[in-house]
Amino acid sequence: MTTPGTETDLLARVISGDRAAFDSIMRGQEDRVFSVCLRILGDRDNALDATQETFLTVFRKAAQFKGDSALGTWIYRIAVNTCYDQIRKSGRRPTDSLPDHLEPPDLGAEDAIEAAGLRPEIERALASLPPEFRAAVVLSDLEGMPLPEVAQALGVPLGTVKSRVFRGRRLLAERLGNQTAS
Amino acid sequence: MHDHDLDLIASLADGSLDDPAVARALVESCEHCSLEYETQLSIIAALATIEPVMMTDLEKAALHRDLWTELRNQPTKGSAGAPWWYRLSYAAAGVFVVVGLVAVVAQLGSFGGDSAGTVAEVSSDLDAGETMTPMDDGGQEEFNPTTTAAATGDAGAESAPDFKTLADETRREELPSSVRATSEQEQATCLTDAGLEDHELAGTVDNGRAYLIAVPDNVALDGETPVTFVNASTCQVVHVEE
Repeated sequence: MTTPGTETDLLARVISGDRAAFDSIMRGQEDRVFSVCLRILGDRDNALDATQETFLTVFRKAAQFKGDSALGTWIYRIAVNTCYDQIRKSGRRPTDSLPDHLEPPDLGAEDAIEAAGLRPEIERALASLPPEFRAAVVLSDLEGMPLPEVAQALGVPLGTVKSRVFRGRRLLAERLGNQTAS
Repeated sequence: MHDHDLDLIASLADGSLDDPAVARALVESCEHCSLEYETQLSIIAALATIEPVMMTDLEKAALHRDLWTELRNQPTKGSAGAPWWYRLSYAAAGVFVVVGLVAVVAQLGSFGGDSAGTVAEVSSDLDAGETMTPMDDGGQEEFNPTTTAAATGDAGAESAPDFKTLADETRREELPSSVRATSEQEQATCLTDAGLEDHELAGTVDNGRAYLIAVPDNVALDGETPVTFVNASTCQVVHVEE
């Protein structure tokens, strides 16, 4: 985990053309960025493209990082916006398409098989959420980010994030057939 | 039910409240709130069963390769930030070089005894696509259209290797012995410079120009393994056979 001072130093080195510094940033964040992109876009190839585009943007905009958030949060924000751009350009909302290639290879254990039997439905329901709700739920509940960081990553007020998370979970419950208070 | 109450319930469910007492009291006193709370809890638990997703080694290697290829095409900080007069001075220097070369050619052409219109002959012959016969046998090879094409390293010219065949042979581990891997430190450094730290050297090829053949590290070779070809002189990726 990098400290704020280290992050600022790393970006300063990136701005000055230090390849190793950029490589360090990329390798430290690429898995999380890919995970977020895949959860938001629901397609592996698109997620890989978005991941690449995210780091290209990080490189180009390194000088614009002000340090008012953690570097990882800033990169998440770029990733989410990149995904939103992709969704807008494709002119579609991922609805009920089954999220291919999200599941790992055959796990083998009974409990794991049972859990795996539920996961396609959960992932399908997650992929069907509106992008704004999906991003909030992914960052909060799947990536485990504290809500204030989620707010920074999404560029919206904390109250908006709380509302999106709540409504996103409620929509998931409805689509999974759970009883809700509504 | 006010929104902020629902947000409070959601925060209670995911454990993000510093002081959950008020939220707990709300849930215990309100059936509607209790149902919302249970719904939130069940979804949080369901989401926790989702396995984390990660890139495969192959995907990571391709990401790094493609990313560094793109970054190499980015304008450098220096060139993007150079003032207009600085760039103009480079353009002016280029013009002087061209004018000087033309003058040198004109001088050399005049030594062959047929001085009239030498420069015009060069340009018209090139335009007509004819092979230029140098006035001086000593070597104006650069004005021979045939050698010019080869010298510029046009990827479509005869000096480019058969990337597809080499890639197939690499995947089947059937590279000819003349191109088997070597252990030169310079070649490993070249792969790193090309942004292929995640790749290993599978072989080299020398077909008028040396290339390194690289495949992703620790990946079993099969028909779909991407094979990357790197110019051994410039250490830049010139071709990827997917």
